[in-house]
Amino acid sequence: MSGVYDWLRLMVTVSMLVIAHFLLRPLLGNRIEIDFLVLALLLLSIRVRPGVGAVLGLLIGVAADAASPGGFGSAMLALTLVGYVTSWLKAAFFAENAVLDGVVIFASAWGVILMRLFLSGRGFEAGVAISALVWAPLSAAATAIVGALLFAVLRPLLKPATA
Amino acid sequence: MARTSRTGTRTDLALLGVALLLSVVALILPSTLRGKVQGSLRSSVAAPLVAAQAWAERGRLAIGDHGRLVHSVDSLALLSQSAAPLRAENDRLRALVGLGQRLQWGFVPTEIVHGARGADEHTVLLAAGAAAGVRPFSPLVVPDGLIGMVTAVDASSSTAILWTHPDFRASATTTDGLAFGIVAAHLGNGADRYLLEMRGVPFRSELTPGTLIVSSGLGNVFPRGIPIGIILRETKTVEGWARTYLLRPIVPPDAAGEAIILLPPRAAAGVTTAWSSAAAADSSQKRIAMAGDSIVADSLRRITLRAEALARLDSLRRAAIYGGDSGVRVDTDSTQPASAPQPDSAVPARRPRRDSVSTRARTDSAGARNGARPAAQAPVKPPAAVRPKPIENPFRLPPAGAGA
Repeated sequence: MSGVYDWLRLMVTVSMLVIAHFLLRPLLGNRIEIDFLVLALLLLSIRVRPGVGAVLGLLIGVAADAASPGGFGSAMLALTLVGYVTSWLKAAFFAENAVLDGVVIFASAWGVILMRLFLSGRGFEAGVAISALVWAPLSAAATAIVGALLFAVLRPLLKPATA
Repeated sequence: MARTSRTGTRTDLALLGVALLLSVVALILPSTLRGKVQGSLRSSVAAPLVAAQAWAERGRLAIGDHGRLVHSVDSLALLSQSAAPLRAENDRLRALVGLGQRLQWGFVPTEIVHGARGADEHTVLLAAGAAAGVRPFSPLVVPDGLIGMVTAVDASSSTAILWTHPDFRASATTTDGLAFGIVAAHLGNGADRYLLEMRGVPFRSELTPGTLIVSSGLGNVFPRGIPIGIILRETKTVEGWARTYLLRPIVPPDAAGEAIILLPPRAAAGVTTAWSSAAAADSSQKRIAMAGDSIVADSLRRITLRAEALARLDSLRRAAIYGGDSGVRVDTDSTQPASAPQPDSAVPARRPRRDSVSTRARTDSAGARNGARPAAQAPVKPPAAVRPKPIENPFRLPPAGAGA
């Protein structure tokens, strides 16, 4: 019963993060964007097997690609890999170390942005390089800060079930 | 050992492979097919998310537009504030050009430089002088009317006094030329200081408020027909042989920034046509107002006469009722033929007014006094308590034998 209740709380949190990604992110800024979908995927993937994490990443990537004008499939691929890898590295999230959480979130977010940039078919333009080396790290850092704070707050509530 | 078992399971790898395969397929789809798939996703499962994102984008644009809108509103407010003076100046200059077109020749347009606040506010500097033909005593006019007179001239500028100056005088008259007088500044206190007064108006010339006063042309300084002011009211003066009227000036003393100096030849030739339209309009307005007043007065006079006739008729009727000996025929009572005076017995046959309280009281008293005698045939004698004061009947004839 408690497991169902935990999953319910987790689904509510993930739904809120997904809604925040589409509602709140456009209001926060043009260049430095917080990727709430990565945070939602991380919350989910650390509770499931890597294969399921990959599938969840694929589904979240479908939602992200559907709302993006170009580069269909890039978010699917990036989030699939992130879901699988973070599920495989879930031990890192059990360390209750906010800095380690931040590092994992930063790497995941930057990796997603880079993959979406290079897989969107824009090639290696100057704007892409600036986005990959300047704005993408800043966005990943913002996502990591928000994610670390969020995980620190939600850790008692969203304690993952032992698999 | 447990982690190795989890990551190494074929199921996980198979799921990863399927997910990667789908992702790669999505990436390598032809653009048309990719667009169709993306569109179908946007219109189905991802529709709420896309709608939320669009709503957020609109919100972000609205937040960004708010600053631009505020900036635009501020700019428009500044423009509108500067537009009103520009419009006023445009109208003023257009009127000045119109006056110049009506004058056609013999004038010099000039700018008026008002003195600093606290200095002599009744004297102004003009940007035209003797080189332009300006001479002392040249009239200074604006499209509305007279504003002053040139007093001193040098080569490139000149000095003029406004009508507020204590030394300003102008011979003036009404537009119909029936009343003449001398217009000067009203040296009153407060706001009355900026009024004019018209002195020396003959006592027989009574001017009504609203009458337009123009220059008379007498004295060879101001040509005839320049509007000066409008009669406000008559003021009390110690002289009993002439009237003095208070005038509201046509031109405010500080309103004009530009004016026209009439050169002596033009002033001598007359300028009646330049302001005749305004004077004619004023005369027409006055005529219309007077016609309306006369109609109202005539109606009031008719109503008064009618009321007097009705009152006289009622008096006669009362006199006939209460006096009892009056044989006066009431014209409105067509049932009674005109005849010679009749004795008292004939009077009760006349029907008293039903709405008269005193008549009813009199009738009841008479009935009570006469017993079975019908009230209609009883002598009409109201009791002393309710009998009103006898009304003097101017048409009452002396009773028979009174003159003997």
